Amino acid sequence: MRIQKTLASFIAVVILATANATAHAAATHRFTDKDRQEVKDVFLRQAAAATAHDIMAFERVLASTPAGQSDPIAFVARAYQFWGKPALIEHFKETFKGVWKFEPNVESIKIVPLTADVAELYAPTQITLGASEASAKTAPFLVYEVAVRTSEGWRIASIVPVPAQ
Amino acid sequence: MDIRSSCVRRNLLSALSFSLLTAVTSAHAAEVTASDTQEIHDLFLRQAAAETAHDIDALDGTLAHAVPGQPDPVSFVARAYRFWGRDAVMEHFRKTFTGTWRVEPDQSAISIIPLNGDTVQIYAPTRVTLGAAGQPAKTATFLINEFAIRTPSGWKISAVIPVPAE
Repeated sequence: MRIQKTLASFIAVVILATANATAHAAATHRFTDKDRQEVKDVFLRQAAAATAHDIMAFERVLASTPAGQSDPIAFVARAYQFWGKPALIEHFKETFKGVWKFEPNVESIKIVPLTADVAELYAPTQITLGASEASAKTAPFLVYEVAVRTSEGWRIASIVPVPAQ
Repeated sequence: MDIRSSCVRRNLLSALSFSLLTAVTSAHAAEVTASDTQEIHDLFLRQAAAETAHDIDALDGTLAHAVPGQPDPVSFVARAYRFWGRDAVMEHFRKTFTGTWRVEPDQSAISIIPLNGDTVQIYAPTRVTLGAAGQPAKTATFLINEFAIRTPSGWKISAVIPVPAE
């Protein structure tokens, strides 16, 4: 009888905890102003890391692959497409050997949630690139990115730079 | 232990297992399944067909609606123009459909990449033929990126980002 009471108590605790967690999630699971600020912050960290050629900091702003799921990282540009975080990091390791500056117009950044856990970010951005300072060119891009909520905070999953010219 | 006691214990253990399963299930978001991928693939092709047919109602049926209290998730970001919100995107296509507009995705090259359990990126190199009414049309290839989200009425398109391939 004591075992039955113990089991019954444990079940009640699990049910109540589950119900509480579910209710809490339903009540708070919205895209908030705090989320919007965090998405903006992660994008600005990405821009700073790219301009500083800091590959470790750049890697940290990108979403990691959840256990048992596919790699969510995609980069689609006119010149090249990369699928998966290792391919994208390898690309930027090479890019950072030359000139690469990523300068978004911070005043024009636009963030819109697609769901409570996913947000699109749009930022007109000047990108300077080239093998050397002498050959580098600056061009405007309409940078479109998608950020996802992860257990580590908001991270970038998709980057789509649209040439503005 | 008598039979009645054994039966009660089995029932309690079953309930415990169910409770734990429920707790674990609640802690994980839904995953994008093979069935979801097929549904998203079909959605993208329905959208392309609706555009080529200039069927504004069918196109309307492929786009997401805003969740009450949240911003409109529909957008269209291209080199030539940006539209934010469902109404602006639909108005753009109403005007576009008065001229030439054909969308022909390379079906063998469509990629669907889950970003999380409720959002995917669709990638498809696509030939787009466009021209204003009464004007000659031009065909160009675009690397079409779209973002589809899981909604109560199935997967829907929220964002369209065409990158010129040339």
